[in-house]
Amino acid sequence: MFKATRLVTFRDGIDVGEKQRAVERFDALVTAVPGSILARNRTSLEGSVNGGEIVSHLVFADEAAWREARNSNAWHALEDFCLSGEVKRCDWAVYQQEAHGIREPGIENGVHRILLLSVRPFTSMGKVAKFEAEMRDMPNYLPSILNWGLSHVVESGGERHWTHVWEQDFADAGGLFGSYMMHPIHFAHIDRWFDTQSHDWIVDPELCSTYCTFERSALALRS
Amino acid sequence: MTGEETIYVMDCIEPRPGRGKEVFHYYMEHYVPVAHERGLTLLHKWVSPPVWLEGDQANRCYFIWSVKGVEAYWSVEAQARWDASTPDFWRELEPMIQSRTRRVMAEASDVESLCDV
Repeated sequence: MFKATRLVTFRDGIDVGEKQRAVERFDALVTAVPGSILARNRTSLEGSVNGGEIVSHLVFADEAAWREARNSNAWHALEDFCLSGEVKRCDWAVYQQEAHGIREPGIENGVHRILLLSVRPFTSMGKVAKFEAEMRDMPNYLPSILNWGLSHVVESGGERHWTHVWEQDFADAGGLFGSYMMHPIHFAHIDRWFDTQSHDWIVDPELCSTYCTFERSALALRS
Repeated sequence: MTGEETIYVMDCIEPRPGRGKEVFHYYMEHYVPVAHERGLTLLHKWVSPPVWLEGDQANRCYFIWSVKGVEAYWSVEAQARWDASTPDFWRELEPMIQSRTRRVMAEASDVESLCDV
């Protein structure tokens, strides 16, 4: 699977009617992109940080399908919209979707969490490899993470050049804000990569952490 | 998790040879007040060996902090994380030291409780 994820925040001061029209315009632009096997826009939920108001996923069968879409007029129109005055901020990443653990492929009506992160320049490959291995392993301590993947970004934009996308499916928001955030595997071990005071710090503090509901898992999607 | 578990943070710093006393006082003067303001309590400040070494020999300094409960720990961390000047202290410390580690820990008797979330 190849995926384009966008987190869109509309401009300050936009009134309800204008925003509704902007959302509809954005929905139409995403739907018009050719070749996707899933086009899904959802409102981000409270508790997101730099998570956008709209969480948009475009899923393609493979990189070739995405590259074809990327050359289309519809793709350019979508990019133009995200750079327009209607949008205050748009963070986005395109990546080969990794699914490192699929415990619940058939999960319905769950919560999808997305973290866009940027590993600091000049971080050694050894440190990055260790960070990635620990991230992929973390769900083994956290049964509330039902499906997960850590993906390398091919193209990105927004506030940073995002290097990784860390995605998880939960049954509900409690799995994210309860066990995931409060478990010692997270705060006392994994978080050192994100902690600007740690000797192991490698991740830029500017993050996009967002979550939204879904009917069927995009992580578990098979072409 | 009861919320009553004490979380400990240990900074272990190995100054460059002969600079133990300088590093210790630099940490006490420039870092301790800031960390205290964020909500950490400094329990211990240990020096090994307990004599300021000179010449080509190096001390080790251990600073043991505590905070009550995981939520309070995250609050302390969030304050540091969103303060863009936080890395400055550690960057300025770099030339004075050989190495350092920061570990987060708890009493062994609290492991099961902390993992029960």
